[in-house]
Amino acid sequence: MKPDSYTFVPVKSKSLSFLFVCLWAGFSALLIISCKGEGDPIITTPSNKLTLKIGYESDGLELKKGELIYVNDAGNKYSVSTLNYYLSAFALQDVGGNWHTSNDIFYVNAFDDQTNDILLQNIPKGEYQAIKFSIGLNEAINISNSLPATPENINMAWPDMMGGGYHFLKLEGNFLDSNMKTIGFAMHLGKSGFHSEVMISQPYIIGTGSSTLSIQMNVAEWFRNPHLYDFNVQGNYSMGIDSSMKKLSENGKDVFTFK
Amino acid sequence: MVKMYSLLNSKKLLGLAAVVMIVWAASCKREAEAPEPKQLPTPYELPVPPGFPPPYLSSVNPLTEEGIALGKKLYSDPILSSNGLSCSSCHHREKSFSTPIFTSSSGEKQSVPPHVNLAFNPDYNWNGNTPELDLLCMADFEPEFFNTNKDSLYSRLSKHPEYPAMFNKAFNITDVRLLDYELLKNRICFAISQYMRTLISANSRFDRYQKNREKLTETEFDGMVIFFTEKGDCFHCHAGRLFTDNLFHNNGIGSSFEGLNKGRFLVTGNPADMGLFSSPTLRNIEYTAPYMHDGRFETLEEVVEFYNSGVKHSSTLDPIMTKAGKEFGLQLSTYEKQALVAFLKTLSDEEFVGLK
Repeated sequence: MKPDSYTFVPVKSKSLSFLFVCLWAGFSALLIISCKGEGDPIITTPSNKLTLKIGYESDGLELKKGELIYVNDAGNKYSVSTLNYYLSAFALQDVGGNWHTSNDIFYVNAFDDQTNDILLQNIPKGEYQAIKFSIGLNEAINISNSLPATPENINMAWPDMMGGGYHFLKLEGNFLDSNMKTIGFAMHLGKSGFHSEVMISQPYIIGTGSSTLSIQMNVAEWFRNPHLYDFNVQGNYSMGIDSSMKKLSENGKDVFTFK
Repeated sequence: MVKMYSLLNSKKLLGLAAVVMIVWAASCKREAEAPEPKQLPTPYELPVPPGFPPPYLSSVNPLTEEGIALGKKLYSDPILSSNGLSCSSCHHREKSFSTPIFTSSSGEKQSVPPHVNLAFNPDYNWNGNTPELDLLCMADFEPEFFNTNKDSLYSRLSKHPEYPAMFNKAFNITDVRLLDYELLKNRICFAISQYMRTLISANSRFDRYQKNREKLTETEFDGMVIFFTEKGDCFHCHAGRLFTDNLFHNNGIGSSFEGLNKGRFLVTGNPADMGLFSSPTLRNIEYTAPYMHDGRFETLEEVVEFYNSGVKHSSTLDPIMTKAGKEFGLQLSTYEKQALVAFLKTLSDEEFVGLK
C-alpha cells in the first residue's frame, strides 16, 4: 500500500448538524482564547508522539566505547570508538495496512545519549504492526550541503568527488588482526544506493500523548547475514569500495530489533 | 539669655545653611561628572559565511559593537602587560594571528594555534583544555606571558584617555578601579574574545573557486582531488568549510607519549585520549608554520611527507590512519605530494592576513 502522511485525513461530512457543531466549537475556542490571561497556558490540540529509544549491543554484550571485547562471526575481536549514522524515511504501518510516514532525518551518535531518542510526531494513535526506516539517506535526499550546516552534518559530508551527499554510517574502532596486532577499522557507508533499509514487523500500540518504543542495534549484525565480513579478508576500510559498502548495506537491514 | 540663644541659633542656622549649600554644590558637581545614564551597547550579529556551522556564542558575553571595539584595541595594546607584550605580539596578522613557536616555562615547544574562525570552535588549544573562548586569555596575565602588574594595570587603564569610556560603553563599568582584579581580567578577556570571534576567514582562492569566480591550476586541482578522496584522505579530519572536524585524533606523529605529547589525555585522564590532539583548521595553513602541536615540521612539504611515509603506530592511532595498504603512509608520488601542497596553499586568505 502506498504510504501516506501522518497528517490526519479530514473527516468529510456535509451534514448541517456537523457544521453546527464545528461552528459552536470554533466560537467556543475563540471565546476561550479571547478570555485567556497573560500567564495562562496555550491550549493546543493534543498530538501523539512516539519516542524511539535506541540502545546498543554486540551479541548480548552492552556496547561500551573503546572496549576491545567484542567478537564478530568472522572471529575478529574488535572495539567500537565511533558509531555515527543517519536514520530517515520512517514509516509506521497500522494494523489496517496503512503506512504513516515522516520526512524527518535524524543524526545519531551512539555515544551521545541526547541523539539516541528519536522523536516522531503527529502519529495517529492505534495499533501498529510494523515500522520501517533507512540507515542513511536514499538518493532523493542524499544531496551535498542539503542538511543544515551543523558540526555533525559537516563531519558526515561525503566528498562530491566520491559521489557527494553524506556518510550514512561511520563505524570505527580497532580489531586484532591475524598477527594479533591492534589495527583500526573504519566501516563507512555513503554514496547513493548504499543505505540500509530496515523493517521490523512486530505489533505495537501508540496511545494518546507520548509513547515510547525501545529498539536495539546489534553491532555484530553489520558483519554477517547475508555477508560474512572479515576485516582480514574484506579489508578494514570500506569508503570508496563499492563491493564492501554493498555488503555492509545489505547486512544493515537487520541490525535493529525491538528490545 | 534668650537673645544669646537666638543669636547662637541664628549662627548655627547660617552655618547649617552654608554646609547645605556646599554639599548641594558638591553634589551638583558630582552629578555633572557622572557617566552618561546607562545605555545598552549595540548588539552585533556575527556574519556567518555560507556552509559554516552556527557560531558558538556566549550568553554571558553577547557580541556588541562596543565590546568588539574594546577587544580589538586591547588585543594589540601592551597596556595589559609589564613586559611590553600584547596579544598581537604573538598572534601576528600576517601569520593568520599565529606565531612561529612558543616555548613553555618547562622548555617544551608548542606551535601557537592561529586566531582564525575561533567562533566556530567548541574548545581551544591543542588539547582542548579551554572550553570557553571567553576565558581563553585569562592565563595570559600570568608571568609566563604578560607578567601583568595588577596595580599598574588599574592605574594605566583608569588614567587612559579612551579606555574608561570604552569600558563604560561596552560593559557599563563606570570605573575599572571598582572591579576586583579577577573581574577586571574577566571583562578584558570578554572584550578580547568578542573581537576574536570576528576574526573570520572565508575568502581564499578555494572559496572563490567554489563560487566559480576563480580557477585552480592543474596541479592545485590534482591536489584537491587527492585531498577529497581516499588517495589523501585529508577530508575526514579537515572537514567541511572550516577544514577541521573540531575533534581530537592521534594522527600518528608519535608512538610513546610524554609531557605535552600526551595531548587530550592531560585534560580527560582517559587512556583512550593518549596522544590525541585537536584537528587544526587548514585555512591559512601556508602562514602558520611550524606544524603539529609541537612545531616539529617547518614546511608543508615535511607535513605531507610525514603523512606519506612517517605515520607511527600506537594503541590510540586513529582508525582512519590504518587503511590496508597504507598502514605507514599514503604512498604518494613526488608529483602528488607537490600537488597536495599546492592545493593546501589555495586555502590562504590574503585579505585576512593583510596582504590584499
